[in-house]
Amino acid sequence: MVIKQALLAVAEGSQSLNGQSLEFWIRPYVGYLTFGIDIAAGIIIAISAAAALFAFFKILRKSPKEQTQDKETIRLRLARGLLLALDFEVGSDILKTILVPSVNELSILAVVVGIRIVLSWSLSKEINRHNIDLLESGKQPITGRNRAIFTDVMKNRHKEEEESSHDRSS
Amino acid sequence: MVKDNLGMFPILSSVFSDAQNIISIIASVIDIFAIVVIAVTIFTSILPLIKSTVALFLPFIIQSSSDRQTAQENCALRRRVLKANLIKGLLLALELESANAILKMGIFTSGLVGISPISSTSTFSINNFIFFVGIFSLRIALNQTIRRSK
Repeated sequence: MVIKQALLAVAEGSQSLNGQSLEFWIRPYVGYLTFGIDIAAGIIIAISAAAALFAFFKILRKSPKEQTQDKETIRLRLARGLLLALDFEVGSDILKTILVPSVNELSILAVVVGIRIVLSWSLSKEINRHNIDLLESGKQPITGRNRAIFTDVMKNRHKEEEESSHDRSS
Repeated sequence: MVKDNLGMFPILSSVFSDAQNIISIIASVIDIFAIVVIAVTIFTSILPLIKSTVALFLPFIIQSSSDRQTAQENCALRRRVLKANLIKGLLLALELESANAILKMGIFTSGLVGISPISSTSTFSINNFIFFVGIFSLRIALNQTIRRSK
């Protein structure tokens, strides 16, 4: 009923419902949504961290050289979990912009979203580099489904190297 | 006004309070994970590192001459591997701290827009913000440095 009233008010272009602002009616629903998204992000991070700790204890019996390689893999698996959680959090932040009361707080929220995006970009770049390293050393990349993409990247890289060497020789 | 609105929805207020408690607990558990990773990494790396350093600088401690020579030959290589292992372990702990910072940032933004029942002055402080920016900058800078040093 309340949602129907809110939709009607939006359709009529009015800013209030029975004397209350539209924000008043929307706030709890946006609140529930952002709450759910935050909890989902929290669960993803908790599972990723627990899996990372479990894997860390599992590799302790290996030799230090193997441990070094496996720790990098564990770290980047955790980074993939963080990346997914960050995407959820950015979605939650975008929803929260509906509720911000002033330009000052909106600008702070924008900075937070910016930090999250930079972190996501850094993480995804790191994972790609690590996957390329794994492919170069003949190992299975962390993201199995992206193997074709990384193979293409490798092909392009080889092609560029060949072209540059050809240019140098000519 | 924000608090008044939440006051109209007592269930929502209590739900948010519970959610923030859950996220705070998860953040504390991740902190403990990071501490465990640091402790185990240091324990498993420092002792062999000290042992190899002793073999390198105090060769008379090792009785057999063949053992002494082998130890000295392998020492530099082992030290490098152990150092790499130590750094990777610390980076894993830093990744866990990043996870923690991402969680805390969620609470921070909830406080900022006023949907959190906790007063926004307690959650929104410049110290929290500096903490997030510091952790992420450190993380990115360390990764870039390690990548270039390879």
